[in-house]
Amino acid sequence: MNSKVTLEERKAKVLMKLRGYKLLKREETKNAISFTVKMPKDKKKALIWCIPTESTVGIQYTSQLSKAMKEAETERGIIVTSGRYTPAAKVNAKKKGIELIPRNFPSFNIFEHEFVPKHEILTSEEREKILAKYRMKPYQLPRIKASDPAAKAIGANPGDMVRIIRESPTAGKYVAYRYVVEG
Amino acid sequence: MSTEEAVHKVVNELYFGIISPGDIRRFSVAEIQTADTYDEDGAPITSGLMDGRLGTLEPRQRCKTCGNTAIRCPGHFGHIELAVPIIHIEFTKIVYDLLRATCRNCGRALLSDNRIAQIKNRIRHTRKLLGTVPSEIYKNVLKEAQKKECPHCGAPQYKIEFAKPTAFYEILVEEGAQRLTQSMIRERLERITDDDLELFGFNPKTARPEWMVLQVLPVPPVYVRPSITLESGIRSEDDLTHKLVDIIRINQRLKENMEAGAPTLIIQDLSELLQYHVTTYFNNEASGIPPARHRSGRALKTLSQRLKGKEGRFRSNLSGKRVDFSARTVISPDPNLDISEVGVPLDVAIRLSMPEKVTEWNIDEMRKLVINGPEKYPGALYVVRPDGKRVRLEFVVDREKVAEALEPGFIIERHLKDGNVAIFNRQPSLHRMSIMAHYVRVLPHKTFRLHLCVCPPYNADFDGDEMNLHVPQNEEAQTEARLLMQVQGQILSPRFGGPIIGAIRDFITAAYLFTRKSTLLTKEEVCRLLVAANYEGPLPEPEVKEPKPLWTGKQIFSLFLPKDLNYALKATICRGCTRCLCEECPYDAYVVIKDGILKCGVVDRRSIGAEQSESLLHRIIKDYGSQAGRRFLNRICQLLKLFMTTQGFTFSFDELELSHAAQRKIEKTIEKFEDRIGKLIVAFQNSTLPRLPGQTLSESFEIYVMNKLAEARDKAGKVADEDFDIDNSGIIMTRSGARGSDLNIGQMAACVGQQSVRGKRIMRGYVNRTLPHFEIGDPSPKARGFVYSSYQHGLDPIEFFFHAMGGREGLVDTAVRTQQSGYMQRRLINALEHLRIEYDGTVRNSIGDIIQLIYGEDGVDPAKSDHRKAVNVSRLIEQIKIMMEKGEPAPKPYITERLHEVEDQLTPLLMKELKSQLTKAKLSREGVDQAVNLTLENYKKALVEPGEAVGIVAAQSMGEPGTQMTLRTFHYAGVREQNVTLGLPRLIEIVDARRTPSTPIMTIYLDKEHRKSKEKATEIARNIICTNVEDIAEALPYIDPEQGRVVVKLNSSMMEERGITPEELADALHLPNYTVNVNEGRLILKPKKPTDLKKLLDGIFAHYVKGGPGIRRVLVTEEMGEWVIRTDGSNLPRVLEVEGVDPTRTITNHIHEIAQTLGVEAARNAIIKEAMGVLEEQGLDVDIRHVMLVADIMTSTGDVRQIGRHGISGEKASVLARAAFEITVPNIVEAAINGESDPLRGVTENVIVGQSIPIGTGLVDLYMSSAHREKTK
Repeated sequence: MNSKVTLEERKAKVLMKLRGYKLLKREETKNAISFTVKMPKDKKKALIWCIPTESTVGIQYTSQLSKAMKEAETERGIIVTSGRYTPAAKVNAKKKGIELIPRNFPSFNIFEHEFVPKHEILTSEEREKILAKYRMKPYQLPRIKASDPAAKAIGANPGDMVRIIRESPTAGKYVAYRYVVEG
Repeated sequence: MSTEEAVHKVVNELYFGIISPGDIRRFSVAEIQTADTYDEDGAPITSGLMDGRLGTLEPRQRCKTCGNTAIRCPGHFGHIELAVPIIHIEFTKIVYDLLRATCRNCGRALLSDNRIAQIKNRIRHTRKLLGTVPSEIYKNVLKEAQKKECPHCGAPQYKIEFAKPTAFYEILVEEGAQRLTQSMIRERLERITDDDLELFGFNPKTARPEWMVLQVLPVPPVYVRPSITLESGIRSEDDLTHKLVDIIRINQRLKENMEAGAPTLIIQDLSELLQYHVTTYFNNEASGIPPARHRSGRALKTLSQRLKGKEGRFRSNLSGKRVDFSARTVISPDPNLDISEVGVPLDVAIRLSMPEKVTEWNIDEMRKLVINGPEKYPGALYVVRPDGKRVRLEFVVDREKVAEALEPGFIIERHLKDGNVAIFNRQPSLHRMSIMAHYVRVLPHKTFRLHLCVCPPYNADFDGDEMNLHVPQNEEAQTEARLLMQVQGQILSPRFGGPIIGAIRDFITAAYLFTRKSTLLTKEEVCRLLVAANYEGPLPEPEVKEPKPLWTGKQIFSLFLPKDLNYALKATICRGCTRCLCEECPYDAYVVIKDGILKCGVVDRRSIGAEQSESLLHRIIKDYGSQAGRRFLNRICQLLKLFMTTQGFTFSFDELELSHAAQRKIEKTIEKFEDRIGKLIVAFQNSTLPRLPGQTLSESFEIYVMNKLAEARDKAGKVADEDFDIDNSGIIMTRSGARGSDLNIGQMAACVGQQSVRGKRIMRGYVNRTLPHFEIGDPSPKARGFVYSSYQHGLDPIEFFFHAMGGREGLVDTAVRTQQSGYMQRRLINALEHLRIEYDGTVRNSIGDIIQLIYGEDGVDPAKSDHRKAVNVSRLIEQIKIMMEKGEPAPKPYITERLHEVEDQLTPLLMKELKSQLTKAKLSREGVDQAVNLTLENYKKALVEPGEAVGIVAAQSMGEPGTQMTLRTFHYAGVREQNVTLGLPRLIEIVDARRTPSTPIMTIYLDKEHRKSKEKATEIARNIICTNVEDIAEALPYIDPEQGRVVVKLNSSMMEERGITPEELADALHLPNYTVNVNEGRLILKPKKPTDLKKLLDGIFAHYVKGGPGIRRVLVTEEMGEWVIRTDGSNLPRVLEVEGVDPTRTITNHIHEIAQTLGVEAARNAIIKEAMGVLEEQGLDVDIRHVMLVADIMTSTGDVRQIGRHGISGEKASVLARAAFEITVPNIVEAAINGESDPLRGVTENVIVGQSIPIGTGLVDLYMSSAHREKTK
């Protein structure tokens, strides 16, 4: 668009910031901008591709990315785009371990929005503590879908538990938990 | 009691399944073969439909199977052997799914072994992850397993068609469509393996698919279908019996034909007919078949119809049951009663009874009661002997003998007497205060009497209202009623944490008159009043001593205030002056109570009224307890009643007479406005009227005129209002808040004003005019329903007619609203009824899933809160300040330290408040200690108790105000040009979780750079509004046949308004097959290849050019010193990405859009904000905790779910609860297929099986650890 940084790159930057990815390398290829990042959790590398298009993102991108992933010896790939994904691309991405960021992923930090409270992924110790405190199974908690924009932003996967720190009109501050489910 | 309590078992769980033919035969006591019922003598025919083995209806006859009489025999099933298998109508859908998903040859699921293993894994995995398996998974499997070829045996599969109601066809390649007979279907279903069935969500142990095709039909016992004998002696059979007769008759015929070897055509016809009869026997409303009819032409009510709907078994007999020991009659007011009493007419009191055990101490009294018998008032109806034998005193000739035989241990069912507890109720029971426990007061005459202060919670008036009374029959129930349902315990409403019971109407007028400065009372008057109010104590010093002692009303009123009460508030009569003079208020509107003395100010609605929070009454209840509140209310009501009756209060017609000056002024005012409207009319007719953005000229004109007319009415009303002095009875009532408003006074005395239909001036009637008295197109106020007259002067015929039109709309509105809000309430209750507080403080549903970790996020019960707040810290500190002697202020570190100690026990909000208040208050160390301790103590007192039915309370708190809402409110949001749906329709929309709101609206905030100036904001607005080619075209597009192109003439001013340059337009039109050209104000589209231009011509107008799709209108307005954009239409994801927009504050009222772009948590916040906004806009006070609970349950699955059958209620754990809500039969069918079990842990299901509900006191149970038990062994 009229700004120098493309929308996709802005989205990718926001994503990296929210998930705490460390930028190692930025490359520009002919139809994508590629970032190599380090993930904070397991110190592994991931490859982010920003595909600046409004139309569809097909299977060719996912297979290209998976090839590039092999070359760069990364285990995870992420595609950021404003376009639609073809169904085939979605299937392929799932097989290759590529995460597809949906097109409506906002290009600003959604946790700055007045309606969105802070979300955090729980560590397994915290998780056990909470579950023991309330004597429950994780699925008894309220849920959040893995495709939820807030869950996507922090990179929560099904099976994780998320802590939500709300501004409460009655208590001032309130901590809620949600269990991440597929969808 | 003893005999009936002997066997008492608890139903723990309920299993659902399909009954197998084997079971039907096993349970059957008789095969029914004859289509007849009774022979000539009226005796049931053996193996007929009324066979004695199925049970007996005759009172003294014994059942042939169990040997019991009619009362004790449970009834026994028989069976009919069907000649051909028959498909059960309620299962056709699933039969169809199974036929398609399984092999026609080998019966296996049409999925490869690999895939089956995969699916099984997936099911196992989801069960582990989620605890249950969502039904969508099974549905998807059924869909997936539709193949052309069987992966197991390789047999080709054909398409199967389902023709409603019960026919199936297989489309073979060569032969074409072939009907599948019921036996073929049954055979195929038999072949499906148990393992495969599990993939489809079946539980093969309880539901084999072949059982869905009936071979044997169970015949219900006679009690299910009793025949009735009419007065004329003619027997009339039940609908079900009629249907069974049909079935048997056809079945026999079919059997005979088959045995005789009749042609297949006949056999087929007959089996078709049998299928029809069995189908209608189960469901007479199945689509695709004509309903079976009675001889009279009435459609028969068969099994499905018996269960479903409002009058069906579930809602009418199982969820709600008829009761004994109840009474109903008209209500009337009685200010002489206590607020917690109910006046019961003698006629009722001698028919309702209460059991009382005879003891050594009351035996003499009881004997008297027995001797008095059922007719003489303090009497008794029954004597129950310890062995359970009941003696009905009505039939006892010698009651003295019975009385003599009384012994301790007998139970006397005696008449109701004063002081008994009774439960009083008025429908609709919208909240828990609609059912309260009162103490009985037996009174003469025939109506129930109640105190006027309890009218608001019941929403009762005395224009013929009736109410119900119930008498709890045992100590446990009575105690529970007394502890939980007593009137004074209900004064504080859980809806907003304030008193809902309080003075109304004349009590308020009286309070105002009594506490006015001018009220002076002589000793005699004072004494009489105080005696009436039951005051015992010294008289205060009289205010005026000479010439004779006189007391002020304030002094006397003060006698009833607690001695240490300190409080200040502004009365209803307060005029809201810009600078409050406080104690010096000229209107005496500043109420100050110091040490229990009313120093200044009048007592009116703000102080003692019902539904007023933070009032004097509220303070007394909060600080001195509900008992003190009740006493206070009782005594002042007695006092005020006597004061008012001795003085008298009338609003006379003459009092509406205005002074001449005022009348002239009103005339002038209206003339002035008429002039202005005349100018508007001229401007409108000359089209010089400025158009409002987004409105047509005539719409703008209407808006202008309506505003002016409303203003005129208000001005006129104000003149009238000011003309009356404060001693005018009408003014006294409106100012003190007793009844009516300034508007009512204005309408009565000055001008009634504009009548409206659908929020507009009256336009309907003749062509372009309302009545033939006017010229066509006359836009004058008079011709469009403006009523110049006042009610006092009377309306002229035309005005009267318009007034009636407006009045009719009001009536229709109320009727529609009650229905809508009633349904909303039912859905809310159903979705939330099973939520309760657990002992760990969490809010959970019946199966233990968590909805909230801490109720309302702070754990405070709104009913125990102080108008939403857990603790009123400022008041607390104020009181400590007064009580404590002045000491050295505590140092700051001390305060911090003390606060730190309690940090983990209080909410962050309370901590903050306490801290700021303490630092300000300068209390001594002791004071600080006390403040902190008291805050903690009060906070703990305000916490919810385990078992509390928070869900029901929340549903009631949102549903009850629904009835008070206006139905159609289109409100102007900020700018008057913008319409937003508000009120009840919007609230329903929110809880419905509609896909799109009826008026989507966005509020777009801008970043620092753009929020300052209008120009920059407009710039952004242009990028937001959705522009299609149509919006910038001047005329319709046309085809230029010579050049073979489509031409659109463009409107340059529109293009400028939307900020589109010709170049941009050409760029924006993304048409790969055309060349796009814009010049000379024309848009020219030429195809690259010759094509049919017609399609392009039709589509070109809808072509997108610029902006956010869906955004129809933008308005740039200034709010709070910054420029914001408001839009009609919503597209959040798009707008958030527009440059210059502040994405962190921009919001929409489209909840699903928020859920998709910002997540569930944001959607939760949006629901809370929207719902609270609607309620607040209507001036309804609802605690946010209730709305939060609703929002939490709506978002608890990560999706925004509806409150209703497609959302929360449809996903309840209990089959019975789901069936009782809506879609009864399909729910039961599905439960049977899946082999579901009902854990019976919710509310509805326990009501249905007749057990106590696990909520509140019903939750309390006795547990014993098994380890302990072993030890004792």
